[in-house]
Amino acid sequence: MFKLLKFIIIFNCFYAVSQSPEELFRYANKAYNDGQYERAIKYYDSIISIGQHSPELYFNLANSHYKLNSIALSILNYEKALLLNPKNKSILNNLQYSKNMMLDNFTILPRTDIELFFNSVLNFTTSDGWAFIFIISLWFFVVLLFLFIKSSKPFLKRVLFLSSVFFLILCLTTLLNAISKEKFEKNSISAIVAINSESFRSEPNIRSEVLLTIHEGTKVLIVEEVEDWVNVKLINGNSGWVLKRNLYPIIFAK
Amino acid sequence: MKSSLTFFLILNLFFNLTYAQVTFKANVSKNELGINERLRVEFTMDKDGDNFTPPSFEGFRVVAGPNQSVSNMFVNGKRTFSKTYTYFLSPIKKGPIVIEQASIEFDSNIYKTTPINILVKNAVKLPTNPNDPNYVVAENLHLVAELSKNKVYINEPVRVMYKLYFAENIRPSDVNPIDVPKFKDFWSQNVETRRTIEKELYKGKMYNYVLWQQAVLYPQRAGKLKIAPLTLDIQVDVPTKRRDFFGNQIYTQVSKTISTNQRVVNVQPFPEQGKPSNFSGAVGKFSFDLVTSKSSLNATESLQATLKISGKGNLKLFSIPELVTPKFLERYDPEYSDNVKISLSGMSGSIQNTYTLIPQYRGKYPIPPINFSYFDPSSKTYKKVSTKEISIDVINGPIQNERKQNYSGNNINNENNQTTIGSFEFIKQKTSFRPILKKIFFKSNLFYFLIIIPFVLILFFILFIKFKPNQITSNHKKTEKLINSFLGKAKKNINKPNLFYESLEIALINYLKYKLDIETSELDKEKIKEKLIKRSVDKKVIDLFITILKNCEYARYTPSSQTSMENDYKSSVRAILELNKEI
Repeated sequence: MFKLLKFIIIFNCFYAVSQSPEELFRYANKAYNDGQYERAIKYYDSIISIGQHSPELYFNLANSHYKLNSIALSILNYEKALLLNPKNKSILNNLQYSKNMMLDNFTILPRTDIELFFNSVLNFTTSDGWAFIFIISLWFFVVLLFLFIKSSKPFLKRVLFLSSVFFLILCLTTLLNAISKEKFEKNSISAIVAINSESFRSEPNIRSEVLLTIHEGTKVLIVEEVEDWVNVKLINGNSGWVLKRNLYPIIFAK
Repeated sequence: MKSSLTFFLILNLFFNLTYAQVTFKANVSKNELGINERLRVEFTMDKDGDNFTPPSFEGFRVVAGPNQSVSNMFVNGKRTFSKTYTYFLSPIKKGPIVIEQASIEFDSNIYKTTPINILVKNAVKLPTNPNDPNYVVAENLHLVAELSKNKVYINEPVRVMYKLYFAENIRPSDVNPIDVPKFKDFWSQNVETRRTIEKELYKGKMYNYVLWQQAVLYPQRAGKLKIAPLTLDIQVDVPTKRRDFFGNQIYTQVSKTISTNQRVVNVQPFPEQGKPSNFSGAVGKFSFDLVTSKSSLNATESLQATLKISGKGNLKLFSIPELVTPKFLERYDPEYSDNVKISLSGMSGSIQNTYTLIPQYRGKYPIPPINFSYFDPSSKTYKKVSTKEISIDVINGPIQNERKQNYSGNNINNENNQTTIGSFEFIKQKTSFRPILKKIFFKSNLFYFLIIIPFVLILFFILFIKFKPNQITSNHKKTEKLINSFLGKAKKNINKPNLFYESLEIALINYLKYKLDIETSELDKEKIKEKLIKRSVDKKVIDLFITILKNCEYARYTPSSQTSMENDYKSSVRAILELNKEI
């Protein structure tokens, strides 16, 4: 009975969508290859609206937008693909092509080596990854501690004690990493400027001074939000306010 | 009498000389006049008086005066003196007007005139002398400033023409500009004129005219802007009635300074409604184009991009919007060139900025549309024109290889990205989908559960392993204590056979008493046996007990060896232990 119900539900789901994500992906790729980029984008978007995604999907979507010269959308989707599959060469490669089209050229604020080191450590894995490492090292610690208590041979006892201390330290640092990484993931949402030229203002209102104009495709870091306005930081360290509706946040959503 | 008469005569003469002969009179040129005519009033005195006070001249406007004149004449040795104050008056109202008394002081006497009645009538046709050359010039020479429009917007062109009209009978011979107008608040450009004599109707009369000067003006601010008048000094040849010997008319030359009336241009500001943000003051009708010399090229080659604004309007008075290019399309400063003709209707032609662009890397460089907005005065609206988006393909060349330091860094931070050396990659064909909304492990219930589990296990292990051995050892200790308490004395006396067995027996009996709850009276081997059997104690243990008790009894009477004593002690310990286990 339950199986039948499940089958009906799944069947209905597919009926509503009428195609599976894989099928849609194939159609989209075909449309792309035929040069019908708008249609390909429609198909790719429909996969996302089903609630499925993959780095390749975002990559292909970004490629389609690149072909149509929409700078912001192509950069946005490459960035999304990179979120799922960091360090992928082809994504980085095509992202560079997209960035060629941009009008802005901000120099990156230099950072200290220590900062870079901590960042690279923190970015080793996601918060879930850190949590997983934390759990494993916690288990190791507990087991080793237990063995340490049980064992009677002095040498073995010493070895077990040292290794349990090691795992204790490891488990504390990974927990810290997981917490800070989670905080980072929640707070540091980047966004892509969506419109051709956007005023970068000193205050969140239309009367305030325009500090500079930023252009389509520029990546900004969202710091805080006030009503329709977002306080953002540029890669050169400048911060200012832009209208929220003129930004594409790099977050996954249906 | 005679002497008195002569005295009187002398006195009379003296008085005549001193004051009796003073006259102070007021004369008017006419007693009746038209309202458009003027009146001359003279106050005359034949002595040199002081402190002249004119009347108030109510009902008149003083056009000129007072003009003071003094005449001193000697005719045949007779001196005639007169001092005159002259006023020219123009009546303000019609009807009878009285010119009041004027007063003057002479020899500390005040003399006054009599009031004069004047009647002001309707305007009369001024009698003119048609032969007066000045009159002829005034009637037949006109300098007029003509504006093409009176009401314009800022930067909308206005044409101003200065025309010198003269009737056919007079001939301007020499013209000297005295005051050339400076067009303040205008951008102006003089347009050359040939200054030929042409004919035109002016005020219903045919005149010859010369277009003396013309200019195109672009008002630079809103408001009522005055155009300063042009003033010319003209020598005019006017014919007289006289003729020379040959019968030709004789001309007299009259110099005349003539200036135009002041003209005002009403300049309207631009409407605020719908004013584009990038409006830079261009007014007219324009088209805006971006043309590139190439659409595809290799990197480090150059191409020209030309931004051109063409049409009619204030082309020289605004700047061309700047070209925006992608960051890796190197752009050099533009070269400005224009082809603007300024005619009477304003500026027309084109202005252009030519940029040199050099792409640095392979790829696609879209040049976004550039917007330009202007005000169209004919439709009174702002118009926007923008260039088409142009994409420049760079076919060959290096690939951009920038050091990536992605500060916002979701995972792609801070790596020296050496990988981007390739062409634009084709889409991926294979993929495996996963749900967008994935479950978060960190801080989930499972996560907390996995943290708690090892601690629960450890607690469990501690309870399980530590508690059990404790029980065993404590039992062991208890029995040891028990044995010690009962057999301690016996052990002490192990070297003294008599005392040993005595204490051993007491110990055993005490033990049984404690264990089996039996009275001292019931202490009998048989009864003990029965009770032990009742408690279902093992027979071997019972036997052991009984034999030890027997041995104790025997030892009272027979000396026993050290070894047997030790045997008995050991077996009693065993017996107690066994019994303790069973009961």
